[in-house]
Amino acid sequence: MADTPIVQMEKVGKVYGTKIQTRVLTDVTFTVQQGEFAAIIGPSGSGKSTLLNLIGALDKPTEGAVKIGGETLSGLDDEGLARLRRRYLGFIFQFHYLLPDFTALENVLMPFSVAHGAPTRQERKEAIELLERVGLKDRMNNRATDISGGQQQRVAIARALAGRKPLVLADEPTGNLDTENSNEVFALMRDFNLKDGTTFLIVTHDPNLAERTDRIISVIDGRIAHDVPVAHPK
Amino acid sequence: MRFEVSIALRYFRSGGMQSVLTILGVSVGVAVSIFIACLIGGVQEGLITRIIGSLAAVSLEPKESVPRSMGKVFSADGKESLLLERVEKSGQRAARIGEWKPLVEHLDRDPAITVVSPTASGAGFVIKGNQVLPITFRGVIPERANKITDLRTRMVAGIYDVSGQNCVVGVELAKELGISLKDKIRTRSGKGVELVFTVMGIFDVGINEINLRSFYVSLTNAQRLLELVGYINAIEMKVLEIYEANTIADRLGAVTGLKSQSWMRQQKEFLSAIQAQNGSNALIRTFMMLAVAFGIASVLVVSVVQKSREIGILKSMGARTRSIMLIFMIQGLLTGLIGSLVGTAFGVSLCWALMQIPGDNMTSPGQLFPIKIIPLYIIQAIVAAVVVGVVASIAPARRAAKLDPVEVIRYG
Ligand SMILES: Nc1ncnc2c1ncn2[C@@H]1O[C@H](COP(=O)(O)OP(=O)(O)OP(=O)(O)O)[C@@H](O)[C@H]1O
Ligand SMILES: [Mg+2]
Repeated sequence: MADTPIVQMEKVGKVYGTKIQTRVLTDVTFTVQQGEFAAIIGPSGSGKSTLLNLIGALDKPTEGAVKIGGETLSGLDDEGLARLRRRYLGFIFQFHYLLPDFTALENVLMPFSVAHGAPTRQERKEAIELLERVGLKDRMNNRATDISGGQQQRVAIARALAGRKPLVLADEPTGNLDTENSNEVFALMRDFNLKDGTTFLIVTHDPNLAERTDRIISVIDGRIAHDVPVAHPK
Repeated sequence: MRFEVSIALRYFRSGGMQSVLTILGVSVGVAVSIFIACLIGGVQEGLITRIIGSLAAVSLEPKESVPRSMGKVFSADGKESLLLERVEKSGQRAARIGEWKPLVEHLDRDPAITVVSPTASGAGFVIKGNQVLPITFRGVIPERANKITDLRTRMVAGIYDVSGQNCVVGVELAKELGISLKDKIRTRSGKGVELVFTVMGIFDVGINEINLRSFYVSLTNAQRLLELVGYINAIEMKVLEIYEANTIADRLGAVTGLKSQSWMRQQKEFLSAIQAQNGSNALIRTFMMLAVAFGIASVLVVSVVQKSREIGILKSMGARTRSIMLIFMIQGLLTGLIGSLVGTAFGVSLCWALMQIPGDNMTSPGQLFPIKIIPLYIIQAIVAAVVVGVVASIAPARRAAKLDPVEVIRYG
């Protein structure tokens, strides 16, 4: 497990459009090991979301290879990519995107349902435990739209982790939250990283949050400008 | 429960007014479709009862050209043996059917045939004072003949009684000759045989020709008048499926060697009128269902746009293309199903209410509107709406399945 990096980016490039071509990413190469807790930073429009979507198998690179868990994405068809997402990936988005017609618990159970239909009792137990860890067990039967923004984002974290996904991709997960909620959401992600070994790749604009990760990858004009570990004073 | 079903159900419920209106749209389509079908069906069934109802669906008659040793005869135990001298024809003698009792018994057992009525009919005259009117003697076995043309319920005076020397005549004939009940009238057949009958009843079957010419007597008396003692000259039948009449007639013709007739060939114009009605019925219902299909499809297209974010999220979780399609197809199915059930309630209530309005129409007595609730048409409308719901959802469902998650997540 530890030998194969969870993410391998090899000379990845991305160009949008056919007539008017926009080059968004150029020669992106890096690897992420299992259990890392890394931030991706950079100016607006630099290509951070594009990069995350490529890793998330939601988008296809124009050049180079993206490998998740050792599997090359370009070799997979749509169903293969969907299977890979079910197996490896959890997503947290800026606008927390819960399914509004469902309760918090049902949202956390959704990845199981999507994977194989009705969740098992074990999976229900896992989902409730996850909600307990994000501090929302008492709200689990509330509709997703009936809880606050910070709470919704915590539910989204629980959902991203349901099924013990090894890799969670978070695109500005705190971008829409106040400082207090941001800190709380960040702390939760860190907690899952430390206790469960979940790998996190977090796109953020907030330098304070980035400083609290273990590694900062900065993207400027679609290239990796810096890729440095963060020293934490003990 | 599959998660596609539960998502479809939630979307359906959260759709609120949108779902309700779509269902109402489908309901109206189904209700109209049922109403039209039951109206046309009612008119048709009325016409069939009126026109075909008092006629035989299939009949067997002697065939002039039949060779003497061809065809088959049926003994009482149902076994077939060669027809011998079944049909006899000599110079001036009318064609006739002999050995008819076992044949009738055999036909009685045929599951496709519901009524078998042997008759002896022939031309003759009624003589009253110095008036002589041509008539057709109809010699029947009342219990059997009544199941073909139910004269008992169509008596306008007296009773239906052709036993002994009794007869019943039509209203037109009675009017023409000034006949009243219990009158004794003299008749003479084309063979020159004369008999006197007592008029026990006067009927009105609604068809002038029959009201004027048909003169009902017992089979025995007709046989005597027509010099057919021991013989008959037609077997009239009703069948279970009236539109099978041709097939049944052909089958009986082949197996008995007799000449067979079917109402469908005798009443060609009537039949083509019926078929034209069926055609317009089908056309109206097809267009109703097309309208239903467009309604469901357009609402689902809107729903796909409304839910595109959520579809993107489900895709990011690794939802299969099939699952995404199913979510929308189940919505189409539900709309069709619920809509058709509500529509059935509407349509049937409307038919029922109109059926309660008293009055009279050509085909269904006691009702102002000739409507009949026909379960087959209702089932057809329900099945059609459900199928249409699913088919109409395919295009929107594919659209949902093709959504690019990056687009919807980026731009919401
Ligand atoms: N489908 C597309 N077609 C053309 N250009 C696109 C498309 N998607 C993104 N881009 C462009 O690619 C560039 C990078 O976009 P991206 O969303 O990855 O930036 P970002 O670093 O996430 O920015 P932000 O911090 O504002 O979220 C932008 O200039 C954007 O306009
Ligand atoms: Mg972005």
